[in-house]
Amino acid sequence: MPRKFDLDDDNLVLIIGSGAGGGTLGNELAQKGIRTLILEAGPRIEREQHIDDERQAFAQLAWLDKRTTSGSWRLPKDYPNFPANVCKVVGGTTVHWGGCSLRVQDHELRAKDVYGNIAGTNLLNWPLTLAELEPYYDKAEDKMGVTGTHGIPLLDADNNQIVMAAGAKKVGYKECSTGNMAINSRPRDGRPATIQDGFCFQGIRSNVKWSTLNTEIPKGEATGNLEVRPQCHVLRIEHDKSGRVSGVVYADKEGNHHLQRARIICVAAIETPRLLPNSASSLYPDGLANSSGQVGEKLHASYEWISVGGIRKTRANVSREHNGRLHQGRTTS
Amino acid sequence: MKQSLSASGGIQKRSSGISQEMFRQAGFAWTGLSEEARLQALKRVEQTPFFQRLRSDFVLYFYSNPAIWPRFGYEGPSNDRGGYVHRGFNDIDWIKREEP
Repeated sequence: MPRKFDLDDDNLVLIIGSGAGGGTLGNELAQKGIRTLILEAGPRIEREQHIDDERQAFAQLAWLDKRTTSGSWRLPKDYPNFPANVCKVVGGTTVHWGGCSLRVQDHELRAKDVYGNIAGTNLLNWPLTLAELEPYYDKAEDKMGVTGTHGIPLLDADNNQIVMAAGAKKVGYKECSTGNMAINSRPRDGRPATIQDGFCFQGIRSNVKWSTLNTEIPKGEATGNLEVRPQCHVLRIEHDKSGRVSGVVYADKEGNHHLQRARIICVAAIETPRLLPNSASSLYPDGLANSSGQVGEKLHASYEWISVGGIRKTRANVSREHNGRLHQGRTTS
Repeated sequence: MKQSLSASGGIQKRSSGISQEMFRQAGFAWTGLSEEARLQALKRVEQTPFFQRLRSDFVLYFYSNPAIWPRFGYEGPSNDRGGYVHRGFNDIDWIKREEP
């Protein structure tokens, strides 16, 4: 019997968002016997419904509610109403991500030390060091089955990667591999090995890539302590007179508002920087968790380099003696 | 992009700034134009929202069309056929493999 909590039941932990953070936390709490409710804004699209087609998968999985962005950077010019490609489904953006599982580097955690004061930024050092994070990275890589860790073999290179590796060597790179990926190279954790179909960005149809949809969430639900409630878009976090959180207001798929009570609320949503200011009250005029005044103000990102190129030799114009099928392939970290 | 037809059967002037006459010249006489003339006609409208929307939609729908894929060697989805792991995912033979 799947768990279903009443709206008035405040003896639970409420997690907003079912993605990498929310889905994982939900399972961890459920495994410890804690009554846990995850409210997910998007619908539950199971992997059998995922579509290996870029355009259709985008329409199915993406967060398409209108957004705005502004400022002097390039994004408002190119995509003023679509500043981020993220998902609105159970599993969050772990359904769409490519599985690249690189650890943050030391200098990224100490941006202020490394870069100093730069006009227009608020660089800070993280209150954690890489050394403190390493045991948890270790656990996460084991949980997710990251290739190149815990004895898990690296993925075999596909045609695209073979071309890339040759080019990388030519321009002087010493290391080029298929990298650390949360994609099974061998069967592991009840999921099969990769079939090299190249549509990781379009869901988890082959059930090979780690996503909270095919790991954390079903494991949490199996304990009987976890409810994942889809199409519940949280609008505000409520608190009592003393300032303690008391519950959330959410809109269901018909647009009707409901108040769900909770003892503890965890924000794990892609829209948390909007939700916290939207929860402003007379007691918290700048929104919740915003004593810094920085919530929703600055962009924090890890930047990646992406190379895009064309491969001239294709099936259409190579001689019969040559091979080199160009299926979509997979991103490499 | 919605187009509405006036009572006379022509295309109404759009706020994007394309005049009816320009479109008539470009559209109805298109097949008779040389490559260079077509290019010039497109250049006249290339800054308009109409053209930019058409171009981005065209790229999206062109590359989403399975009938086009064989033309440039793209094999597309294969989940129902067991992927490419046994069907040549790494069969390239015109480039040397590098050791990882």
